[in-house]
Amino acid sequence: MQVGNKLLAIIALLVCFLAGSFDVGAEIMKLKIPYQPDTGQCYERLSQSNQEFRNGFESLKTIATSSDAFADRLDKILKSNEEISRKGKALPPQQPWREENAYVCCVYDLLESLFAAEEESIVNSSAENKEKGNKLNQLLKNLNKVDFGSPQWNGRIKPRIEEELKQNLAKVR
Amino acid sequence: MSSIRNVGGSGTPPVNSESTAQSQQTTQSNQTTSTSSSDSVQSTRSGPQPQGSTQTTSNQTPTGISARDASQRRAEHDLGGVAQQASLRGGPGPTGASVTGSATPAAPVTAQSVATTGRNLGLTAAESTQLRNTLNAMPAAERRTELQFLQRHILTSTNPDRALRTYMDLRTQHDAHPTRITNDVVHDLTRGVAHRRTDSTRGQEGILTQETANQAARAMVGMPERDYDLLQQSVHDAGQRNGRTAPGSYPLGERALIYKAVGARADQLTNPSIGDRVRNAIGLPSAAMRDVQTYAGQIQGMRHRDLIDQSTVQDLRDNNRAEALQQRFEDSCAPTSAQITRAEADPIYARQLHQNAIHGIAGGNPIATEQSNLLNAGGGGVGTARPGPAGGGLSDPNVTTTLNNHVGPATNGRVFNYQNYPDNNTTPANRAASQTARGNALNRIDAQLRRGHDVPIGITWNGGGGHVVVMTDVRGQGNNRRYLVSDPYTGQTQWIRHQDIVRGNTNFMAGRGVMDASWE
Repeated sequence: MQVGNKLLAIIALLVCFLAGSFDVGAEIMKLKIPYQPDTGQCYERLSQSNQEFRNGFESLKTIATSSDAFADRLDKILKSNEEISRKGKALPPQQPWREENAYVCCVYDLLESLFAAEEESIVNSSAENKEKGNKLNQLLKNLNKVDFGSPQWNGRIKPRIEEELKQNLAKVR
Repeated sequence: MSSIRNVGGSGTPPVNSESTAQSQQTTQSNQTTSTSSSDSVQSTRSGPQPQGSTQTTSNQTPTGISARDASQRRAEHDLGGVAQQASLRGGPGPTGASVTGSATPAAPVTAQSVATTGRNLGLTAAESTQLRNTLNAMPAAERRTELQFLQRHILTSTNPDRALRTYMDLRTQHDAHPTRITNDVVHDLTRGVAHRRTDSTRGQEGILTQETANQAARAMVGMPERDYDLLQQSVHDAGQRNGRTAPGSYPLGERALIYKAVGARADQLTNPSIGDRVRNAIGLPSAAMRDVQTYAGQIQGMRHRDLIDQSTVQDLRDNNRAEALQQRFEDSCAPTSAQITRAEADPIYARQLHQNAIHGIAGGNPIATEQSNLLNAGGGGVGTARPGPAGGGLSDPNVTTTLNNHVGPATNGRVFNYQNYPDNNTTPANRAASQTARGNALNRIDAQLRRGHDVPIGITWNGGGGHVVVMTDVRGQGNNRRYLVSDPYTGQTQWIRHQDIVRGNTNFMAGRGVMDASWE
């Protein structure tokens, strides 16, 4: 009986997948990290940073690649990031450079990768263009929820993600 | 000239209108207060102040001037004063003895009235009493001259409270070392504190501060005779070209900057090395005085605007474009803040930075090289060119070291003490405690800024990541205070309100974040 149920579930999943209506958020995401080639030094420094930042970033990666819906993953990452930042900063510095900055640089890169992967999933899905457009618009709204205050995020990374999203939106219109 | 006259007229606080209450205060004090007309000077008011209006303005201003009026008049005075500075050396004596000119005589200015006006302009009660005592301790003729000087140049300036504090410090030095800290020196230094640098609201602080003026006086007291003589020559030549005052120059500003450069080198000048002593013995300047002389020669006769602009790396002009020093690397905010802090303390260094465009993010120039060197020396590695990822910068302890190493030499070994007050937004109680900590920090910083110590502060951006900017001035009182902040990322200088910093989520020009550290 149990075997039969499992089989049915697998068939249902296959049908969903083949029908192209599979929620991309339910997949185990594969993220390219580092996403931006020039962030190599950030990851190198993160590996030498205190354990709060190191372990914290690993936990963010786990959240980012989970099977939760995109918005949920993003929310969890942002909430966890606050906690990790606070705890990481509370530890005495181990390095002459600012460990927090290395960590945050990696978080930005992770988020950029996360958005890029989600975007790619949407664009490459077999959904109708209208539906793709709706999803990309939703992604833009999610991006605006990321309330980081640094000039690096607001002046460079966010606009880059935004630009990419807008280009894809134009393609599916 | 009309603006000057206007200043002397309606623009002059009627310090002569000494109230009965103040007279009683004087009587009640144990000091010997002379209010006889022979010891007072006539104010330069061109007409009587309408007493009715002054009395209704505020009970707190017995001398008959509201804070707002005083502020407006100070602004007028400074703008007029700026235009007038060039002629002061060649015109009326440095004591301003001839400034009463043709103005209609008004009621006398007394030590008490000046002290009371000082109180209204921001001195504490103790400082006001000290000022009165200082003035009353002078011989009558000297007191008249000094009262006139204070009324003419200080009380109506932008920074009367700061200048009066400086004046009291300097008078003490004058009494102890009258041949070194002469009246001319006292007046120049005090005016250097009193007069605003530019007509922008960001340019209110003087070329000098109480701190730098005192350092200059200390240097002059302790420097070798030969250096002192050479300094006097440079001061004498300020604003001159071919024996005449150069058109458009700003002699008072030049003198203030020369003194500021001297103050920045007080330790070196008062503790000459063996080599310096040898140089002095054969008539040459010490190494530090040679730098000052060279600088004095470089700025001699310079146009007023250029003189001011090259003595700071902040943006003190209202021209709708950012012009302050910028960090050349994503992670060199702390080294750049060290450059800003040093430049504000030492005009020679500021001028060196101005040999290249200070505003810009291009590398490959001495400004970038120095930032890179400071970053590297602090353990921050090689800077990341802008725009690029910011994954480094200096840790807070290394920011402290960098400030001490780079700014210390221009501030006679000032030691920066790191203060940290992390933001905790997790509960309402924690949020309130964080805000209280920021408020307390600002109260400490306020006192330092008013004295003339610039304070680098640490910011954590919303979502994480750190930055360093520099506070250089404070205006206002209580929750209405504003702090002048220079941001190395954008190269902007702007006022930020006290309450905005206390609340957090503050717009610090380059981004939003919270102040959570300071180097005081």
